[in-house]
Amino acid sequence: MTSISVRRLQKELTEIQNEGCPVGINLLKADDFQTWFFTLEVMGDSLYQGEAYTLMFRFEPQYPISSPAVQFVVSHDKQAPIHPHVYSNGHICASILGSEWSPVLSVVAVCVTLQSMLASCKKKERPPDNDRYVRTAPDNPKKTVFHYDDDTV
Amino acid sequence: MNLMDVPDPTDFPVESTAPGLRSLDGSFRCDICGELYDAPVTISCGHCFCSACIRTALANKQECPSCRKVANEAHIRSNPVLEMVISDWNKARPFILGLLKNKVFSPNAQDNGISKKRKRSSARLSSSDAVITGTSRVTLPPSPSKRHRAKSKSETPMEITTLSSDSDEGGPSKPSGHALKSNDLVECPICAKRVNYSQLNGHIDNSCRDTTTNKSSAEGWSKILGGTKTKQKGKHKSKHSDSDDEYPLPIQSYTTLKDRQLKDMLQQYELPVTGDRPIWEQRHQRWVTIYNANRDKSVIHRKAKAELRRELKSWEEDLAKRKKGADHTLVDDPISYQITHKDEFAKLIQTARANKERKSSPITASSPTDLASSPSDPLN
Repeated sequence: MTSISVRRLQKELTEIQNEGCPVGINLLKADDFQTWFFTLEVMGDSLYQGEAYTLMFRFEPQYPISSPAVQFVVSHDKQAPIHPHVYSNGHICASILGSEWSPVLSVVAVCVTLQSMLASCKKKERPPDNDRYVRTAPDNPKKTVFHYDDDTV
Repeated sequence: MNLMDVPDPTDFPVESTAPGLRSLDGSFRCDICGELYDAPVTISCGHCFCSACIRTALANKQECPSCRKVANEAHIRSNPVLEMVISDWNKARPFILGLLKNKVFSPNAQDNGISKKRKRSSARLSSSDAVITGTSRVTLPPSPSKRHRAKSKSETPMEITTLSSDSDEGGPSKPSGHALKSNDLVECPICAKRVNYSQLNGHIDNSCRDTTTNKSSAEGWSKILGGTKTKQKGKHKSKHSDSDDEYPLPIQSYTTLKDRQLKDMLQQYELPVTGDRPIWEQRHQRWVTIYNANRDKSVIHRKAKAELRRELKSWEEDLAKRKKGADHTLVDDPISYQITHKDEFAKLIQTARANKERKSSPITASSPTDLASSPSDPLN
């Protein structure tokens, strides 16, 4: 028996391949059922116009009961968007990735949410505690207990 | 990557080619696992999921995954009508796909029943690594469940009319003329179980779920009160009979249980006690989930306990296998982590010591706190 999580991911992947992703979201790499990469662009009029970012998804065997670990990829040629909820190491403070995760959400749904989070941004800035957090942040953002204090996005 | 043939709504053509079919197939699927509903249940908000899926989700968080309304296990009600719809769709689906693909009837395109999807998926996995699209799928023998139901439908009204036309005295009789006493055992026309004749009507009214009336009150009490050690042994033995589907298993709060008790609980259901305490808890929790989910199916679709045990075993093996892989990506090897982050640890220790000397400043309530970071950092 193949696990529920693999079958569910397989279905999501098939749908992406057959139907495509929403505008601005593209599947970059999905070679296994543990780590997937997407590119994310904000369409239309926004502070992030013309910028492309890379998202990394990591799945646990309990997916979709447990949320995926989602972060922006930061490397020599890739940066995390400058946003009040995105740390410079790529970690994202968004409730749907933590306490507000629901098993009916999907990878594409998360991408769309993050896209709209960027689109609605009023001012490009890092979170106030960026330096302190980045210095001590764990590798996996799921190990961070975020405090969600902004309901506006 | 090992691509499998996992059926999903996109097997059907788009709306313009085959109106409604793709979304119909989507409507028959659980939003959690994406499979056609397996033991469909509804919760108080009306949303529908596979029993096992929603039970697992509610154990994690007590809200409806779709609308976030508060929900708990007690709200779960089985949905036999939808179960029947799914059972029929399982048969119609490959047939319709076959029609769409070939526009001709081919007997091979039939069946492919997903009520046996767990079995089927493994069979399919071993059969090929390639993606099989559309119709040419592994053919399984047709499920007999439908015939069973049709038979029961035709028989039930006849029996009822016979019974109601009978006078009270002398006892009711079967059409054959053979007189039955009230405590004679007769076969229930629906579930084929042997039931006391006098209780047959009640049994059918109860949707073939047994009432406790045919058991001695002492036995009933021992079940409620847990009974003595010897009584439990007896109960344990009766686990193989059909009647033990009577009640759902309670969800345990494992922290209050001693190892011994937890082991007993596993052995009570003939589950292995290999591994350590977290494994036992995980095993028991999953057992309760699949046991209760199996109860949410109508009687004819229920699986035997032995089959549930096999499913539990493969679930455990799969989880262990995936966990191994996932740990590799999610958690670094602690030794190498210590080596690569040596400087950071040194800095943290230094900061902590400095803090201690200053008799620790009040903890700042800033947004992210993680296990590795020091609660207050004066250098920042």
